[in-house]
Amino acid sequence: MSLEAKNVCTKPLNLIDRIKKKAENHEVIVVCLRCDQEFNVQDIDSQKNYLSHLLKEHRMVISDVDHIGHFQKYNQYWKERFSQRNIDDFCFKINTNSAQDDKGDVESFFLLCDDLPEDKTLREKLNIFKLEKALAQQESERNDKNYFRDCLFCGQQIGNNRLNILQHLSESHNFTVGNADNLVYFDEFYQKLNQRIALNKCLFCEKIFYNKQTMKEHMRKKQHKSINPNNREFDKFYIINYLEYSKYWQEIKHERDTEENRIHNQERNPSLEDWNDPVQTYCCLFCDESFEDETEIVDHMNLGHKFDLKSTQFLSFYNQIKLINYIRRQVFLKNCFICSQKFDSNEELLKHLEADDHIKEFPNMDLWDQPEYYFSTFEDDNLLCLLDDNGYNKDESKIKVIPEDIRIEIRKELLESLKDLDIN
Amino acid sequence: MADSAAPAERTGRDGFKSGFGGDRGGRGGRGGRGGRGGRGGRGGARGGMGRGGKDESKGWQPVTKLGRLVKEGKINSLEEIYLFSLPIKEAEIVDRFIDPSVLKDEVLKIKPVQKQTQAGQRTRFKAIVAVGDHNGHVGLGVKVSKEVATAIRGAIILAKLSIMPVRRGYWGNKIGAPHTVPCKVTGKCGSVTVRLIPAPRGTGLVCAPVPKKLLTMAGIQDCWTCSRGSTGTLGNFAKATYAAIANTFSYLTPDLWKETVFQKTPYQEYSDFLQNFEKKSNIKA
Repeated sequence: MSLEAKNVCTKPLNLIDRIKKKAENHEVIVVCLRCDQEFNVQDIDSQKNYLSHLLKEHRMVISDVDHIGHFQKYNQYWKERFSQRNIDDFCFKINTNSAQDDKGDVESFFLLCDDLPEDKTLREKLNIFKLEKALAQQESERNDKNYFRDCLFCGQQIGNNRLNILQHLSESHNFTVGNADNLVYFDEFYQKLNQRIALNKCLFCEKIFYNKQTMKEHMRKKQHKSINPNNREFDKFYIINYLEYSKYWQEIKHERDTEENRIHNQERNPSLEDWNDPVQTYCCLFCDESFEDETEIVDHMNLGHKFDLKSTQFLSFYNQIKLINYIRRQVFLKNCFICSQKFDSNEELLKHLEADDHIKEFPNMDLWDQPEYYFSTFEDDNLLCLLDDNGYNKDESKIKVIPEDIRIEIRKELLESLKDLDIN
Repeated sequence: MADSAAPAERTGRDGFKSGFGGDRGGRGGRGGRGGRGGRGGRGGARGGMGRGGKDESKGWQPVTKLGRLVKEGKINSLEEIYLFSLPIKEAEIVDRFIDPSVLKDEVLKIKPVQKQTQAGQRTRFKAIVAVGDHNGHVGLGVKVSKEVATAIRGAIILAKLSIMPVRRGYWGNKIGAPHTVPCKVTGKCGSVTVRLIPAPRGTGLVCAPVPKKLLTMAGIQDCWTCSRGSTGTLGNFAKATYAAIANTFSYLTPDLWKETVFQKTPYQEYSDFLQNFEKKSNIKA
């Protein structure tokens, strides 16, 4: 049965289109800690609005708001906790006008700060969240091969990566801002520098000059070809500042890189070690569902489609690969993989498979035992990595794999030179 | 990303010493290059030797005996070092044999790690870097530091020290260049086991992104993988793949059965020659 002639796929297929992207929550609405009023905290000004409301209406202060990694989550957490217990259990009370000479009334304010251990752990966790986000951003910047910008000083267009821009600045203009790997949110950073230069402002001492020429002369003569280290505005662009929420880079610089004792070097925080990286998604063979866990997908196919992936384990690994690729191809072409009947839509195909119980049958070996099914139907089919290789299977004896030759001559001169090296 | 710390490019990077008023991005972090984050006994201890030859004008000053031999040109290729299982402790040795422009490096992951100290939590960056020449050599390095750039630099050096030869093979017929693994090999690290299975030409690398990068750097073009365990832990996943790739040369395939089963070791075989040479040189001196 040569279906191949009619069912030719000419372009590479990808499963990634099927994976539904999780909707990202971009709302930055917070509900006030003490009342039920809602506030928008998207930018600094609206955040200040909310904080002033807290101060005036509820006499509450949150210390070090700038150091909180994710303000919305912080707010949400404490709102829940306040509903469970009395506010006095969490906040410190500050009494003003409490000295004898003060004429005003005694007013008490509540302070929520990280002297409370619970608050401290929460802030640390949120900081890790912020750090991870910054690292992800840095990774995308590192791998970005299409980044082109004009040089700050000579106007030449440089690309394709931020690394080239920094190299050009350091080589041609002697201007350094640090190693590219230490920077994050590079685009914003570059724009800021551009803005300053447009204003004819020296980047180091921040004096404004009449025109660009004098500014360049000043920077060259005074060797101000770098950024002001004390300017906190640039802190967010250096990833070292994200390490610990309460420390700036100057403090961290003075700390040691690694501890002295090398004996017990395991990180004591297992939760960070097991932290999951971009997890692989597995797509179901028959429908459009995708899962991140391998047991979930096997269960889904078992319960949802009555297809048991484990039942194919008696086959050799190579045959399992062929079978999966065959099924993928037939489902893509909307054919039944047992009887090769054509359908117009995936729903009809699924109905047919379940109704006729074809899904439990095993397809005829001639149909799928073809060398073309060695090649993955979908370029990024992760399901193929889940197949069990249960050791040697006699079907595999037909397959020949030849290792490459390794031939190395032992030269006498080499032996002489190695004589001193105390081997053997 | 040809971002290797070769001598030629180092001068460019040194220019970055004065970022924030002279302190940022410098070479300060290099001093504490301890055993932390190294490959842990895979092919010998690391980091014990000091770094000689930072002075650019003099070039590389080798510190180890092997380094001296390599500088003098007594050793022709990395394969000769592998033959005698000599530990490589200087990254410049690798630079001599594999051109730095050919040896590509890639950062697999930068992740924050925390350690509990008396003064509270201490967070640092851990960089996992893979190097390879896409033609038979691959290495993996892990380094922790408070600055990302230092961690990456250190990891590249450790990766170069851990460079391993990769044996490849052919599927079906022996035409052209080898493209797949020579046999089914397994590697394990932590709870992750990775199994590499030979594949026909054109299959490509059917695996997760992490092992894919390592396998492409090794020069393997077609391969199926079978991974088990918590593959989310990228460090273990990468190490398990590296172990599997390293096992390609550990596996005794039938074509090697004939070779050196009952042969004398080279030292025994050439011992007379060596003895004579020594005697002769003693007489001459």
